[in-house]
Amino acid sequence: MAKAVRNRDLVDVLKTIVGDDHVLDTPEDMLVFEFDGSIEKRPPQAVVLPASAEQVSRIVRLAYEQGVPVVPRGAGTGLSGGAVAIEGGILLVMTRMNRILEVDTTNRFAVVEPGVVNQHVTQQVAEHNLMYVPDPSSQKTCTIGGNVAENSGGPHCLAYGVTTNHVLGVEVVLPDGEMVWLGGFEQDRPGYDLLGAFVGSEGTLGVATKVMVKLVPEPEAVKTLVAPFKDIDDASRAVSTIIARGIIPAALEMMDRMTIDAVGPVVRADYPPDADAVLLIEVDGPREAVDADAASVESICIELGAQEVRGAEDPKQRERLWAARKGALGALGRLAPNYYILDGVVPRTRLPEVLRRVNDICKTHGFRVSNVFHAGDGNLHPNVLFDERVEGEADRVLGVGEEIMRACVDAGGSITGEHGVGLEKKSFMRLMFTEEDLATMTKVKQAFGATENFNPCKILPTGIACGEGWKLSRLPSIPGAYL
Amino acid sequence: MATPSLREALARIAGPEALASAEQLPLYSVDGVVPEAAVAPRSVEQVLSVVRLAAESRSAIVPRGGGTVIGAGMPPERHDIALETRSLDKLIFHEPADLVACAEAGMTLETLNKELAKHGQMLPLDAPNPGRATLGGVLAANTSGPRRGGYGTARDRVIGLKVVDPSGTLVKGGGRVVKNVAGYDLPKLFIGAHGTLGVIVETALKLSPLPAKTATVVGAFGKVGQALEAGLAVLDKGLRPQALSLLNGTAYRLGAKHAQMPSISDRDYFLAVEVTGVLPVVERQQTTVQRTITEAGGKAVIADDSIQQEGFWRAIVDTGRTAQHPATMITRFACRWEAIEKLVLGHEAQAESNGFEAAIEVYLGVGVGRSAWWADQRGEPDEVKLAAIVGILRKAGEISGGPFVVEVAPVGVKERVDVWGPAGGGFEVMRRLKASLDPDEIMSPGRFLGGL
Repeated sequence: MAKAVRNRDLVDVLKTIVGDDHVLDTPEDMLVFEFDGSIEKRPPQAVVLPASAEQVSRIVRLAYEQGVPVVPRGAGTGLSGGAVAIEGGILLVMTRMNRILEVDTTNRFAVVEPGVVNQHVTQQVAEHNLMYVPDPSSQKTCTIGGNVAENSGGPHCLAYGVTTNHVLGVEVVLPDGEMVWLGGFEQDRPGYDLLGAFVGSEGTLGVATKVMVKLVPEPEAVKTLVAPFKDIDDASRAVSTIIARGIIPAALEMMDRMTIDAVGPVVRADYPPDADAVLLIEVDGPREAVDADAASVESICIELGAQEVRGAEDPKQRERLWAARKGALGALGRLAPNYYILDGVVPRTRLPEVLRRVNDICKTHGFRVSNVFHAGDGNLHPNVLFDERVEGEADRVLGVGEEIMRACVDAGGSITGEHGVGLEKKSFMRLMFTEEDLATMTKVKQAFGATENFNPCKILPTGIACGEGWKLSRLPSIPGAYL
Repeated sequence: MATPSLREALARIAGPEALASAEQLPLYSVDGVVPEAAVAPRSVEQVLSVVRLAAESRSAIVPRGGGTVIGAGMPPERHDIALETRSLDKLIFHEPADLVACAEAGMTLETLNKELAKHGQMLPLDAPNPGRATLGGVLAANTSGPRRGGYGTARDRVIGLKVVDPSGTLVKGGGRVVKNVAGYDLPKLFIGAHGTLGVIVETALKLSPLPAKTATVVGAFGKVGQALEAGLAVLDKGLRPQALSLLNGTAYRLGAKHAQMPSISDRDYFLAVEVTGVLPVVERQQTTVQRTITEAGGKAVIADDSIQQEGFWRAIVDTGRTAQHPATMITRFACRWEAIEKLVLGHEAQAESNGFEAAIEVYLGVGVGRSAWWADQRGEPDEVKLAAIVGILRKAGEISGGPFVVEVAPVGVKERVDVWGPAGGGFEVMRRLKASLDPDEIMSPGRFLGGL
């Protein structure tokens, strides 16, 4: 795409919109904005940090009129490349718009700016015994705007749903710069559910400038259980048995042996030495329900071969039980210089066979793999360990990723449960969707007014301008990667 | 449209037995517009062929399931083919351990739920007349009821959708797993689109376990404010009711009559609360709700007999929709807590001064309400009056910014007011989407918001 504006002029205009201090254009300043949590990397022409919806609108309109690529970005914790300016252009970083504008405890919603950090919402409303549910593991840094773009999940989405189930409305700057509200507190608005289409559109249909989120009451009681299993197949079967018996825990997570070993001797000592997998289960709700569910979960786990089941209700003890899960990814760095985090979904009943398949694929290609994931949703996260310094290993690990994605789709699943398609999985979209399905998605994109320059080359594998212009770059080590 | 050739062409696609006879056609009329033909294809392939035929001949299709909510919308500008989905009624799969089922769109809600109940599961979407309401119709109209507070709506339940688009192409969105962010969330766009973007032919759904025990507590109050206060207190106590409905006297007594519950004729406002769970959970919630009602000045009635409860909630959901007691007009509105009292009283004042009886229900905690209207004397309903009432209540609703939609009304009302009300944010995007998917306007033309 021809750049109609010279870089210098572009930067000058951007500065008139947001002020000199909020435009970055030197390579040093833009370094941290070249990549997100994914494997892609590309410097933008300029990084701009707007302070208001009006500024966003002016920037987006400028980009639209001048044919300059524009890419919205939150905290950059995304794992599929959605926030990488792969065609250069303007990187629109929303983190300065970080105010919580309104908390309505009667109607139970909050209106926040997109740059508000996920966890800050819950912190802000905790005094009213309310919370914002979706809790991606990056919740201490990721932003609500980014969560809306990616339709983020998290461990506690099993019972309560993902971001799309918790967003009531968004103020959006459309790709042509126009500002509209989609949705709002009052439900059942007549017309097409554009809010539903916008959430999870990975920043390709517009830029959220305000987000109205649902708040829900904190549960009366919470109990966390851990159940180590000698055989990972038994752990998988316990997952679908829990669901089949009508119990939907708030969270139902699994860690395999590689992961438990990685988190270190202190946590490792909590589990039997021959544990092959650990289930981490959290039940919440009214006290009596928690007691009843915890008892059922325990007996199901024992019935299916758990070595033991330990439980905790005290927040400190619960935190200890969660420590291994939350520290798992950071700990993987001890095992290998790099790891490639995959995200796929399978029906819960297919977990045992697909996990075996994942391990076989990795073994065949000579890679070690750690599995730590949202088992209750069937949302796999195999982390393939590798060393980018070894010639060809980075390319081979991508091949492993593709095989694993195929295994998920073959089992009736999806190529992504929460990390998004972005740049990373564009080429896998055809595993799930026909040309007709993809053409309909393109029509949706066009209806929102998005041109090829609005967050270009993401999600849809159909853009002819893309694909040649960029190649998979090297796989960076990802010290701060999350899932 | 040349009638004989269209009917012949449809008969060639689906077989003559799938076509309604000329005498049956008036049964398919929508707001008095009788179709040239009515066809019930028996396979997705046949639906594709019918829609392709319509696309080629620019014939207008109005898709329909059981016809239970077909009256929602403006009268169709054209109505050549009534496309019935009732013969697409197969359960494609039900995997209890995944809590997922997939079915064709013509399956009725009742049939599906009977099947799911064998495995202790359910699709918790409320719809009037579930014995006739089809999955496709429930999704297209985004039908919901009192239990949406606890279980969500179709938006929260649909994980995948197959649609025959207006060009006669099969399009799929989502999948068969409960968590999935691959591509745009197309199912959301077809849910609540009232058949203007295509014909839903198949859906995959997230299910819920049947609760071990259910109890319904009803509080009877003298003032609407007391009932609201009790409702808010129930939510503030951290209880998780599946349904929390404010009912006016007419609405409550219609439900009570069907369930042989006391009519409590000396109270005018009611709070109906459904709590579920294992026995001790239900018992404690029941006690807490009961105490909350008393504290707010109400009188509590408990129904824990399951047949009685089912009858009560069934009647509430069916209000105004039964063959025996159809309402002249049904509306749906949405508002915040602070506007509920004013809207309820406004409805009642309008009903009283214009000679109507209105049953009003508001799903508390969700902020969505509905009202069913009957003329209180025998005789023709006054359409001029009803249209004026819509205008007045819509204006009152606008103050809080919520929509006010007329779901059922005589054509005479629709001639005077737009049933959808004004278009809100993003209408231009909606218009472009419709133009791109249905350029020749063959899907339910003119029926939806702003002519979408």
